[in-house]
Amino acid sequence: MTSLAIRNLTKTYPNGVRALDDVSLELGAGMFGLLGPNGAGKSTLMRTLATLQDVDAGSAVLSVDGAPLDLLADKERARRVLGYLPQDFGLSPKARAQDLLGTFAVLEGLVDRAARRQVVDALLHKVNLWDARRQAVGTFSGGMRRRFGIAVALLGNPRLIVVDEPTAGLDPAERARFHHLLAELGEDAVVLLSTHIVDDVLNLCPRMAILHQGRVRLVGSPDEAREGLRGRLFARTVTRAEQEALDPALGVISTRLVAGRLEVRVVADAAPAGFHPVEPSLEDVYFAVTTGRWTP
Amino acid sequence: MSAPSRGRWLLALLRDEVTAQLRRPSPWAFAAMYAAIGMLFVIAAGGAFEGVQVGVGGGNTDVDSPFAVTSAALVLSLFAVMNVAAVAGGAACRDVEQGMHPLVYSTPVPRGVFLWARFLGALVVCGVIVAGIPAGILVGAKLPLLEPERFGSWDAMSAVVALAGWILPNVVFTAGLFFALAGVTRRMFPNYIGGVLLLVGYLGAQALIRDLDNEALSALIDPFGFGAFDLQTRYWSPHERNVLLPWPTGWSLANRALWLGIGLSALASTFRLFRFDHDGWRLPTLRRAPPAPETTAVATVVPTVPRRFDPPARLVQLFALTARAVRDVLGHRYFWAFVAATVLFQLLYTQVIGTLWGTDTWPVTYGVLMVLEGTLQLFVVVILTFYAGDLVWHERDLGTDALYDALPVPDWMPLAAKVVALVAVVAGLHLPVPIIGVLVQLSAGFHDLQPGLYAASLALSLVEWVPFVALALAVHVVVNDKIVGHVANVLLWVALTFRGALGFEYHLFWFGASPGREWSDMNRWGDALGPHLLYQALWWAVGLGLLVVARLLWVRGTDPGLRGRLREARRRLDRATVGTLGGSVAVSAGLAAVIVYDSAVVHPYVSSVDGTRQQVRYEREYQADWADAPHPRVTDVDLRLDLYPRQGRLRAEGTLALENRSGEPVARMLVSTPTSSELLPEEIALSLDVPSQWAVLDDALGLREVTLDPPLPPGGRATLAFTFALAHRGFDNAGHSTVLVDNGTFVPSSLVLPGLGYERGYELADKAERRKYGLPERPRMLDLDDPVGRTRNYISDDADRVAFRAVVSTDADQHAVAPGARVEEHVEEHVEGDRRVATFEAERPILYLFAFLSARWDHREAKAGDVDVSVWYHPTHTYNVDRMLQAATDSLEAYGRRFSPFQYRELRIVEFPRYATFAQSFPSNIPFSEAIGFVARVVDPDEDIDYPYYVTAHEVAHQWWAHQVISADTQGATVLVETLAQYSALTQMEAEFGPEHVYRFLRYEQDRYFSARAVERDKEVPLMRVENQGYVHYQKGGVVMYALARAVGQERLDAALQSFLLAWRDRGPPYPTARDLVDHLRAALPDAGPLLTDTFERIVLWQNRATAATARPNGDGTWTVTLTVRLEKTESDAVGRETALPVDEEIEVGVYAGTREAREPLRVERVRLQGPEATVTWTVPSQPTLAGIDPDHLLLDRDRDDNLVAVTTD
Repeated sequence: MTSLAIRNLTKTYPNGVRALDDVSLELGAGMFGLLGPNGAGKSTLMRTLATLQDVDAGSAVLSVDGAPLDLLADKERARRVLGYLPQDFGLSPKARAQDLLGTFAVLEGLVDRAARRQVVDALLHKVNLWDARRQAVGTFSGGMRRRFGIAVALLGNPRLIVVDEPTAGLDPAERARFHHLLAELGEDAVVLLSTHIVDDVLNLCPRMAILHQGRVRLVGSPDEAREGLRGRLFARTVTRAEQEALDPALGVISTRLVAGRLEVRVVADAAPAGFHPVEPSLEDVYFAVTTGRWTP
Repeated sequence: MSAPSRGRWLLALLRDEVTAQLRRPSPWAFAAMYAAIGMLFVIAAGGAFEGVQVGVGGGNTDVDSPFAVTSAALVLSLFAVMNVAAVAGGAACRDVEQGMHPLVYSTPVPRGVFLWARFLGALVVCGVIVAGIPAGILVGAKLPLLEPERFGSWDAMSAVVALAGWILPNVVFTAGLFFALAGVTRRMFPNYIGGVLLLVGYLGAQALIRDLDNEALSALIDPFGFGAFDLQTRYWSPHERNVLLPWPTGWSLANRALWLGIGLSALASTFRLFRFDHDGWRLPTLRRAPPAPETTAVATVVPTVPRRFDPPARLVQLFALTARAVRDVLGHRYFWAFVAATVLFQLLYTQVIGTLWGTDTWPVTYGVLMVLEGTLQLFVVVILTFYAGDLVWHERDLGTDALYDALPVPDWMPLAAKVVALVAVVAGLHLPVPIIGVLVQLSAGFHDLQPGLYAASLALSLVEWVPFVALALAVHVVVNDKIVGHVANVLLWVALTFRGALGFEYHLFWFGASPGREWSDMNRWGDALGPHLLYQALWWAVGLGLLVVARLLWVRGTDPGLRGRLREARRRLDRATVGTLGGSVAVSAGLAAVIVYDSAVVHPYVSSVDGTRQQVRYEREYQADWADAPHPRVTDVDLRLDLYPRQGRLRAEGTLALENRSGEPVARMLVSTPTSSELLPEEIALSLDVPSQWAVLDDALGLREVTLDPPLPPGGRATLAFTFALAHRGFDNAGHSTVLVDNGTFVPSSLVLPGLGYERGYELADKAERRKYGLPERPRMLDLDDPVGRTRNYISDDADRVAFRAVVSTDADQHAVAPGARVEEHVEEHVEGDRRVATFEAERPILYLFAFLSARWDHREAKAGDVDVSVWYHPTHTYNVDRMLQAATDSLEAYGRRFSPFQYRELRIVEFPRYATFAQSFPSNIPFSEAIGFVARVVDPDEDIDYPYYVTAHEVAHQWWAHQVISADTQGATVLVETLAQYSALTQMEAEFGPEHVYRFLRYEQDRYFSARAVERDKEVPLMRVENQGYVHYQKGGVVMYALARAVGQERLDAALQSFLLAWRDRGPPYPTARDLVDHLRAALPDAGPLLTDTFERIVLWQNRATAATARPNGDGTWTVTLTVRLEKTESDAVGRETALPVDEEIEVGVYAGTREAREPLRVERVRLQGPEATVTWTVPSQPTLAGIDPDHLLLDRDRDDNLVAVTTD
């Protein structure tokens, strides 16, 4: 069994921004979604777990079959069990996919040539780049490049997989493909996926957390999260003039256009005048939490 | 709204552009920087820094003269090429680089207007930058801290000429080029590379351009106008340099116009190729591929395989990372352009390997390597600096760092991989060298290839580069900013390159420095390799230390800032790291200690400033007391000299018989013992056989005082016994041994014999240097008629002529050579190594000038009458041995016939290593450097000057002109020595090769005379008063004597010289002077009086020109030709101020058929002509094509190309 215990992580940047504020999370094997707006501290947390950044305080301990590994103190060993897909990354443009993945495999400790070959080929099949294996990676589209990144992350059979905003900027088809790929990631590994796209979490993650301004605001399954908001969410369709006249104390979490008309959603104990109750989606949860209108 | 007119549009855009660009600080900062450099240059040239010599073209040319200002500004402006590349490139591609082009290119401005505005704006900015250069120089020249003697011709117009005439045309040319390059590629980067390549290539191509036979062509094709400037001004006398403004004229003007035109055509091509669209021109390499077809994902199982992180696995990983880094460099878009440029320039430069008088030397391996490695060096510096930054920043630039940094590899590995990769790249750059080298050698028909030398030299070169790889990478890692890192590296290179100019010579203070290495076929690496490798070991250790520091500060993951990096560094300080760092510090310190011990403790460190100060001290402390003190003279030398070439030591033991010829009693003597930067005294012992007391005056100068009680009366005799043991100890910071070496020892007599009295020759000679040290002005030589000068000869004031006997021993596998005949030789067996012992005896008293040589030679012999002639040469240097032997026997025979019999039984030509490049005539021996003559390539005697023959003929002539008759130690001394030897050699060359060969030679000599007199540091004097100035006694002397022979007939001149020689042969004091020679010639050749005055007693220059020649047939096959000539004759003073002289004398006129290259004389005669314009009408036997004045260039004429004119037919 593999699990990850994150305790009281705190990180303040030199410019005073507190990126992580006493973050604690318990993660078991399987996919865990980390949802949050831009600047919530997701990437800081991911980079910290990927050994690429130091925090001011706190700990992160990975247990593999009962043996604890302090990720922050023992980076050398942490890297051996880590698979990391950075948010955005480049690749040597002229290298061929197969060769480049081979290089990464060597660096992951796969020094035996025949074994390495097997792993590389299998991974290329897995991420569906087999047909492009002789292509220079500089010619890859964004989705292909990210699938290549997943292959790199999966080298060496990682027990902790950190995937930072993997679907940002992908077209719908490519995103769907990517979801299939992520869904197959090892059942025995802790997979931490950060995203600001609610559907990613909905589609993939049995458990999730919402991070906002460096703090964990919610932890649970997507269903639990929606359950908490059920009966407290109300909506109303308004004109622009009416919108401006709304009471600021109402607790508006979102205003969006539905078929050309504005729909305002609020969190309240009871329906305000003119509002009607609606079934909460995960997105509503996300807005409710990140606007601070609702604390689970 | 209507569009504005194009003109107003252009003006508005231009104003906008210029204000925007000039509002930024950088143009002004660069202008200020160049002004500062200009000022610094003037201050240095003005003599502000001790030990720094910056020349501006001769001591009589003012530092602030228009010539000096313009040439300095022109040179400094070359560095502004990089600014032009940046400014013009920026103007062309700024929009694309900043991503603004979709906005800018969609405006309605016409493309032409837009480009003109940008280009003209760039010119204005560049103009501001380069204007700093002459401004700085002119302001600097007015600073009060300079020596006023070097200034005085300040002229504000200099700046105008420098800018308008020379620098701005260069700016337009380069700006056009770079504007086009950046405009078409839409990137700045090609410009930086292009700028570097242009500079490096140009500096390297200088030699190539200079070497062209056709001066006009070489002046024309020089894009920056250096060659044109040089051609235009090189004969300018110091006076002209001070007063004339060097506006481009003639070929210079053509050069300026040509390159201005090329710049503008580049601009025109930009107008055609520049595209106002989104993509521009793009190489079709990396097209985005369509996404690969999606196959249905196969359910794949990724096998779990064991992973390894043990040391062998680490090695595999290091190799994989290195291979990746090497591929990154090789895949870089400009790398192969660098390589191609390197190879191209190497091929170009090999075309100019060593030439002398227009004749090539054989492409011997060391010569080829010198050129190829030198070229390579320029490019490796560029590649190293550039790719060090590129490699350190490669992952971060690509954004792939997060992938790599999270991999389970240790912190040291990425840096280690980059070090290995860069070393591999540098090594790879060495690979073409032997291929190019061998190709060059084979294509020249040279087959003595030396693969071992290629391998050794290139291996050493690579060893020398490795520390610089470490340094360049470490700088980038530590600085952690790509641009700052590049700048820091470039500044480091500049500092390391110009360290000599900064005045610090001790190599230990300069990363990567060493006393150097130098190959000689004779002596191989000599004893240079030990110290050189010691230094290399030191720099490797220091480099390792730097890398450890870099590894500690290496950024992995998100850059945590300096404090975070230092915190991380502390964490990385594990035992192995501390051990490595400590080890490298300890090894560096240990090696540094060994070096200091060897080159500053057991071997004293004497910097060149220290050396100068010693000369100053010698003069200050001993001149007053000793310069005029009478000393006895040496009459007999009896020497036992033991040379131990392999062990680096020698022992000299012997006696000098002294006789007091001064006419006064001698109560005290100044005796000097050998001092040398190479051989240090182990034992010094001196004694006299008369009552005397010895005292050491000065150890560093090797001076002792001996008091004689009672004084040695006039005519009294004494014997000075001496023992000197000298040896190599440690090593010299300045370089390897050149005197006593394993193979090719050349020991001068000053290292084995004591010297008597004060030696004026050791005084500081340079005028400016003397001023700097507050020494009074000093005549270079005693006046022509100085009576004291006449009592001693030009070679030595320690002796007149001496009886000489020496027993010289050396290692048994070598031969030793000393003056005199080798009367006996045997090999002695010793436990420490067998010795060859030879006895030399001079058949008659000889001059007090000896050299002792020893080496493993082969030799060839010949007979010239009774004389045994031999050439002792390095076994592989057989190319010209027979020519030299031939020249020696020819010369001996001819001079014996023309002047007097040869005085010795043997004449030996002896090769010595290339550490010096001269040949010198000692009694019966002629040491000859391996670098001249022995490796000369005389393929076609009709085309090439046969200088092995010529130099041999010259040196053999010294056996007469020096060793039979020696001049007094006054002005003009070298006329009797060098000028007459030169005359003998020229006439010998004529006898062997015909007069055309001599004419070609004399053309070079005239060129060298006019170039050298322009940069005279003190004053030019008439030939009769020459003060050991080579350009006067060789170049002018040769031309003058050859012309004299032509005027009076060679036989008459020879007869006059013969009677002069016989009158003075073997005479002691008073010695003859040049005045005695001129008087003798005047008496013997009464018709040559005015000519002797013009050639020997005055500096007379000519400017003769054939202006027109017409011919008409006479009907009987003969032709009548009418030639008009302009004649100008001037007398110059010491600094080149000229006054006109009337012309009324016999000058040679010639009419020819054929071409300039192959002319057929129809009639050549001396004709009495009156200036300034004269006409000659002659009948010639067939149709003439050329006619002219002084056709063989026997008069000193600055402009020799206009002496002949084509004949037109009526």
